[in-house]
Amino acid sequence: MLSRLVRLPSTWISFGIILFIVLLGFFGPLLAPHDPLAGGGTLLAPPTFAHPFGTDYLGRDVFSRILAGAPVSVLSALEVAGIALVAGAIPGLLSVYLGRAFEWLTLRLVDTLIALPFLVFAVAMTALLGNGISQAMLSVGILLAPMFYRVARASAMSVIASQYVESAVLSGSSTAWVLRRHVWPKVVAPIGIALANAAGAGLVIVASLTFLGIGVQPPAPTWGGMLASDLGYLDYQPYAPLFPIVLIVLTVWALNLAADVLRDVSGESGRILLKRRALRRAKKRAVRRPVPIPRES
Amino acid sequence: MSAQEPLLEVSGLDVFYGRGSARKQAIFDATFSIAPGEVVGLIGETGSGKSTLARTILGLIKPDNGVIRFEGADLATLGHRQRQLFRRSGAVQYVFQDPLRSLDPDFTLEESIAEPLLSSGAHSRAEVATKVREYFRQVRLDEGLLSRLPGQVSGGQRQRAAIARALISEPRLLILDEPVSALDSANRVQILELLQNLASPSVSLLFISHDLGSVAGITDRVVVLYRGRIVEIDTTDAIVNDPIHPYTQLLVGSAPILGSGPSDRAWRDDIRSRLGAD
Repeated sequence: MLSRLVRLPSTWISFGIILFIVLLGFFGPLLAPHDPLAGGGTLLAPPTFAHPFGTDYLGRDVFSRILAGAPVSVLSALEVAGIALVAGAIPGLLSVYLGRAFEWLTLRLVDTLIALPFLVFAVAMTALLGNGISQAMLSVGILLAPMFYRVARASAMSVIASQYVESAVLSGSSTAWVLRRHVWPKVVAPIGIALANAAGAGLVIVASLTFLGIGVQPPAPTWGGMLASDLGYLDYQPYAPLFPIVLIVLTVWALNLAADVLRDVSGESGRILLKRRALRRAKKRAVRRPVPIPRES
Repeated sequence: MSAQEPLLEVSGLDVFYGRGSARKQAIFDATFSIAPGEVVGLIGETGSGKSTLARTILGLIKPDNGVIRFEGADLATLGHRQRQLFRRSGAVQYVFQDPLRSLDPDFTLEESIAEPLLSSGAHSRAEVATKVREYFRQVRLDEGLLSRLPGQVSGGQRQRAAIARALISEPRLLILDEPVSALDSANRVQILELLQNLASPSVSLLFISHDLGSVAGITDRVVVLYRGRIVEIDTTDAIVNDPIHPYTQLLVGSAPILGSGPSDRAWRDDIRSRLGAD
């Protein structure tokens, strides 16, 4: 699968952008040229050399705030995806093996979680556990877990019911062997796709929550929070919301593209897709370099 | 042959499906045996219980009554661990009807054939690789196909690979569930030839099919299964030339190449109505 992955340009584009955003999440605050919390400059100043993205309504440097807001926005989205993965995929895989009682219990739990509306649950959790970023992440992660549960369970079930697993069992293969050699390679691709989707969804939800003032308290900068405050000054700085918006959209787009790439190259369909692409390319080459028509002698 | 201790002995086997009011008997009091080196055909129409009987012998379905003895040991009472050890010994192997589904689509043919040996952990990789090539040649496949995936080879080549996978653990009983019904006629003949050559004093075959014509050429004896009951067991010659049970007569009469008996429609309808009255 890896060799198929590196042949696609979309892989390099999507994973390149994701890597850039993740690095921004880790090192963004260190690169900020100004103190993101220090006001006192010109209010709502247009972009200048000293302030590349201008200043906000308190005179704070927007560029520094974007960089300083990256960890909360990006890493928390990854954290959401991680929590959802652990809380969803592992019970999903186990539900296929651990008997009917566990299966029934987890399925009902998942149905309940699916029925809860996202933002209402997050607001209720912060009301219960206090307003903090980790509480908000936990609630969002738990709410995304059903997606992983279903994806992991569905793909494990289809593999377990297959004849090649039965064939392996008949030749005396242990459960560990079947899981490692047959189930895991087929489950990892759909889980990877769900992970990329969840990180994208997580980023939007974290941005929405911070936009509503849940999770992170002002004056700490976040992309969603900046977007919310920028909207109040559209008359003076109509371009200001673009900075956080472009970053949010770019990250979500890259994550969705990565999910698409993973889906395209995984399994049988991936092989067919790549073969079709190779065929198309070969045809194009053939058109570009027409076969010389032999002259009649 | 009859003086020998049977390799497989099935007696009084009852199998039920479902629970409560949906409970339905699939196999009724099945009794038959296979001698070492014998090729036995298990013939019956779709839904007659052929595959259920095979899966019960393999331990995939638990019988409600009866005994399944393999080389004297009762298979029906094996525990989970004992059954795994028995399967790992490779004494009984199974070839599925559709090799496209029974071979992992992401495994190369080499990996698929090597799996029974590798999963037991008792063989070195070099040893396994040599054996895979040996059996690949035995089923007359070109070594260049070893690195291909099941989807990249023809139906006939896939079924040969599936047979090689079953043979690599050197079974004493090979159960083949409709191994040629998914193949075109040219491949069918080749696979049947290959199976005919396989039969030896050390390997017995249980050949499951709905088509008497495709097994009559290679089997020593035929077991006829009808609606979950064994209605006739005899040598292939006797079954083909002198069928006793009306259903067997119908089977023989319906096979165009074997058509020694009357095969007009009125005759078949008559037999069907007599069977329905049972």
